[in-house]
Amino acid sequence: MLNPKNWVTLFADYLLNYAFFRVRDRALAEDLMQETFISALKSQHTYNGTANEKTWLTAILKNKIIDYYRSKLGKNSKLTDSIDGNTNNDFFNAETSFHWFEKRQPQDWNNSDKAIETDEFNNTFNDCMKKMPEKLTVVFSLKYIDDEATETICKEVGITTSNYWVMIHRAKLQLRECLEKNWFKA
Amino acid sequence: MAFIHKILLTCKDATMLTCKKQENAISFKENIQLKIHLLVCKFCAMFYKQSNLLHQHLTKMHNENNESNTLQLDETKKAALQLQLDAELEK
Repeated sequence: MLNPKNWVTLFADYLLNYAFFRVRDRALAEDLMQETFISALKSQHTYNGTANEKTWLTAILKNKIIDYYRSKLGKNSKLTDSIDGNTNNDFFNAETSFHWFEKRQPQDWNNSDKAIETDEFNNTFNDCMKKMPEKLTVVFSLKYIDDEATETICKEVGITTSNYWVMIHRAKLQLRECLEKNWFKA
Repeated sequence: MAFIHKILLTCKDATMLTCKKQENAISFKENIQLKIHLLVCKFCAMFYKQSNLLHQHLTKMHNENNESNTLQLDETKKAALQLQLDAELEK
């Protein structure tokens, strides 16, 4: 039995936290939580009583999060072209059998274990995340949607597994380089 | 050149396998290829070490977000949302 009169009191905070953990944007998380309640009201007739209310609402929210990821990552998203094939963005030189370009070779980080315990490091880290194309930061969140296998999650958000790895690879290369320039060598 | 990279991997492939290894998505054969590459390439060895650090930090960041569960919608917004739902229910 559904009881929409109690939804906000009982589930608003839970759903907000669930969404925030997966999209890492407070305003967006609030929107998704709100849309979840509206959608749930409109599809009350599909509730068959097998799942409890909370599980049912969470499933609706999860679908909304997947839609969000799909809009950021899918075939029709605007950033698709900039992920690969842009030689200015390359870390490896095709003419030298994909060795590192000299100016992009990783440098030694001194005292790296100690350095990352601070708030300043977290700020630099977050700045570097913000500098990356949105779809690359979104890809980091994918594996946290659920405990599902990468292939399943990729299918749900409309990307191939190989595309997932291309994006993870590029994201880590960019993030590492940005931290080196702005933290470890700054 | 092509033959040697079948055994040693290119730096592009080695860094890709490093990312896969962090998510336990690497085969036995790939793991051996990666280990050999890391023995002879100091840049990829540094990438391996540093990206593990990033991976740990990202995982920690996500887990802290997940555990905190401290976000709360303020009461004004809750009231407004309830009104919106009530109006929807009337329809």
